Amino acid sequence: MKRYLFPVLQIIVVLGVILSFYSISWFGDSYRFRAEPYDPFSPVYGEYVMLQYPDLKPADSVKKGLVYVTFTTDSDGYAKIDRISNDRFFGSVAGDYYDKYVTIPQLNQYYVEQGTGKGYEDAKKLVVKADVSPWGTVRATDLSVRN
Amino acid sequence: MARQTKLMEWQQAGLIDTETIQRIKEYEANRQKKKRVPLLLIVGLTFVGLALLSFLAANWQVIPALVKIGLVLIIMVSCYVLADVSERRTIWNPVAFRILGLIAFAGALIVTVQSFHMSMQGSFIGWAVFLAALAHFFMWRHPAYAILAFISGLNIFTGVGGFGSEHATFLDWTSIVFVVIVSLAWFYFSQSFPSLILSWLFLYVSGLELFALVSYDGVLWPIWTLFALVPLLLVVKQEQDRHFLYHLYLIVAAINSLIYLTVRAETTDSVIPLGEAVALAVFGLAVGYLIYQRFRPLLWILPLGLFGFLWFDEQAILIAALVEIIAFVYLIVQERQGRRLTIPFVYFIAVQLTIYFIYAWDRLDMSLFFLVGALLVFLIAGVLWWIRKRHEGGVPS
Repeated sequence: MKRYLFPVLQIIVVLGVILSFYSISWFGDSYRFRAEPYDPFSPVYGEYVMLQYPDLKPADSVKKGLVYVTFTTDSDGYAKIDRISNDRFFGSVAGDYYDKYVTIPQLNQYYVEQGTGKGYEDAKKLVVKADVSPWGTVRATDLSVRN
Repeated sequence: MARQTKLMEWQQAGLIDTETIQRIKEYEANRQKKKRVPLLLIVGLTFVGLALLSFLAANWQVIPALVKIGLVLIIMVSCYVLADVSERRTIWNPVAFRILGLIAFAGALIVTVQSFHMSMQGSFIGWAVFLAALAHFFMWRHPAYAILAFISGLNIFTGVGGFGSEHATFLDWTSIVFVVIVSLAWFYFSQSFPSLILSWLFLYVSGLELFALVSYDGVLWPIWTLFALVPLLLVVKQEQDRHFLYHLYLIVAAINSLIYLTVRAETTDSVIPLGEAVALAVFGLAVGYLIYQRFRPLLWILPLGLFGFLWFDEQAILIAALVEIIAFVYLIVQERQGRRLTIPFVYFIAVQLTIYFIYAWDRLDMSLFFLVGALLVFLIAGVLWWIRKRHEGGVPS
């Protein structure tokens, strides 16, 4: 049994990671984020679109650097910042605030089918569907062109 | 056919009887059959494998995420099965298969993270593969696992983000504490090379990362860390291993001295508080006492404790003088004690070149002439010394 201990443990680790991703969707809320693309290609990890979110613009009182946010849906049906603080609070998602917008690392890049990255970059107006768990993790589930 | 002829010859000479010949023939016939099957199997499996890989590569993007991950996991498990088979039958190399298994594990995690569009910035994959490789090392005690653990562990330091957090610019406290605990355990329980060196390097890099964490913009951290790691030698069990590790401390100290010399000579605005310089000197004395009692060959690293005071000299003349003296005395002492001179000699030349480039950079056109002359003198001195050694019948270093 000792010989097969490692493959079993390693499978459990991978399954744990998969489960943690699914549990975000099972227990979390779904949002639609308005997104804009930039710099869409990595030769190492395949093709992906780098994304920034024009709606995630915090108030002037928030300091640059590490921020914690929660989201709500505006009248158009897109996500916007509900509460933002430089200190951690329950249910918040950690992000970075630099330049103009808040960046959420898990929403920063989206892997796309080989050859389609340029199309997303040219489209400029995109929408990302993402699930946000009550414990503050985010899982992007879909990227499409916004009408 | 050659075997048949030989057997007949031996039978005629009365060396073996008919029964033995029959037994040899049967054995050889069976052995040949056994040999042929794996060869065909290998050729067949290679073609099937290639076909399978081409098929997967062509359809990779349309395969559902869970199937992709499952496929990589199947490859991983197959590697372990092959490792088991190769170990039981003592064929091929079980270590190579387990290494492939670990790489497949890393692959499975990367495919998982990509399939679910998660950020690649965190150090989670680095941690997972590092710990898995280390566990392999302690289970089978093969240096290859230690090297793989080192390579994957480096991702923890280079990857932006900490353990469970993808937002810290450097490692967070949890990661540092984990890295230090795991590296200490690796150092203490391995007691073999290259693990002693690799885990030591992790501890040293952790020390360097610590100053980014406490946001203290000091320049003396590398020296603090080096001194703090001296007591670690107390837990090394074999005298021989300890002697080997002395070289590691000396080399790191030598590199440090040259970097400090260059940085101080090229920058003018970095200052350190007097209190830290005094503290480092006092700490150096304390470590010096331990070194004097237990690890005498390491006395050469102690002058680094003075670098705090010497830093106040903006032109770096004092550091240059100290480094020059140490390099020279070290070379002479090693020569008189009949030790190998390669490292002292390389260090001596490196010191000369560093000092030369720092102070002569502005007048390089003129000084290049002297530099070439100096290098020629070095070369001639080295050749003459080597010839003399040969004539005296000593062992050239």
